[in-house]
Amino acid sequence: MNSEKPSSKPDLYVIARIIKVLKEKRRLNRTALATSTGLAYDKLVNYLNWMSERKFVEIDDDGNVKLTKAGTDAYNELVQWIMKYVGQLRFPRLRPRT
Amino acid sequence: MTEMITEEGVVSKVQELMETLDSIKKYNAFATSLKKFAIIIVASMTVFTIIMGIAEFYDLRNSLDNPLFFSVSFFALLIPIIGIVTGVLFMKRKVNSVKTGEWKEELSHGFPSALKMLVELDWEATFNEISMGKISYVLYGLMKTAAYWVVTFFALRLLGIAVFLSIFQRVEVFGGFFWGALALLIVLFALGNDLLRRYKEILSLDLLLMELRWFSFEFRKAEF
Repeated sequence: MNSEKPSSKPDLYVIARIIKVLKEKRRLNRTALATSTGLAYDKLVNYLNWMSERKFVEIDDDGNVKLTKAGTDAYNELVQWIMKYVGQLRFPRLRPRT
Repeated sequence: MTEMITEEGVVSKVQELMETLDSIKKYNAFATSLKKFAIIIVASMTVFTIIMGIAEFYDLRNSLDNPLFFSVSFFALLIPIIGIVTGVLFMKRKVNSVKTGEWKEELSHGFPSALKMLVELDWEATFNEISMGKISYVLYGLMKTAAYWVVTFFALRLLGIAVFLSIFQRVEVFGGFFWGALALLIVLFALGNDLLRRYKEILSLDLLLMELRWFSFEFRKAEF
């Protein structure tokens, strides 16, 4: 997961963070989004370009970012996929004894 | 709403995973401290054996009216007992000093953080930790049982000699095999439940290892 080059292989965690903030706030300008996600502005712009290419977000002329249905669906799919597998894990109650 | 429940479900499952991995860290503490535990036990047993060897050398046991043999044996027997107690306390301290829950703050940020933990988890290192922890836990249990057996064996033998000396005025009635077998029965009776619980824990660790291997395989091969 190389976060420096999102166009080749994005950091899933960063994308999930961006989408989560956009889901909560609906529409945000890039500076506010960078603050909310805790990302450096340049890094955020790289990620937004990558997400915009895949139609996950829309950026208007004023620089406001909005999550698209495709973005919401991708996020939900990811959550569902993780839950499908992680949900099957059964963890034993372990208490190492001395 | 369903999405939120699913997100919370993922976070909750990752929390369970991290709690389990915290327990694995504790098992792994057995691996890192087992050598020192073994040194403590073996050293105390060695000192005990040397003292008893000296007692045998000076033929103290056959001096029937010699209370020195019993005094020496009794105090010598305290050495491995102190060794076991020290070893177990040392291990307890090491296991309790394992830091846990360091991930809690991060996980409080919700699904993205849970995802980050899954992505950044070093699965191979985790599998090694489980395997090493499991083996060390077994070795520790066996070593502790063996140490209990040695102490019980010598204590019984000493008691046997004292009883037979006072009743029959003879030193040896039963051989070492008898006392060894009796000591084993007593130790197995006393530690039976503990050994059974350890066995079940080992089985649980095996199952956990299989489940995590499956999950990591699915997770790593996924194309997001």
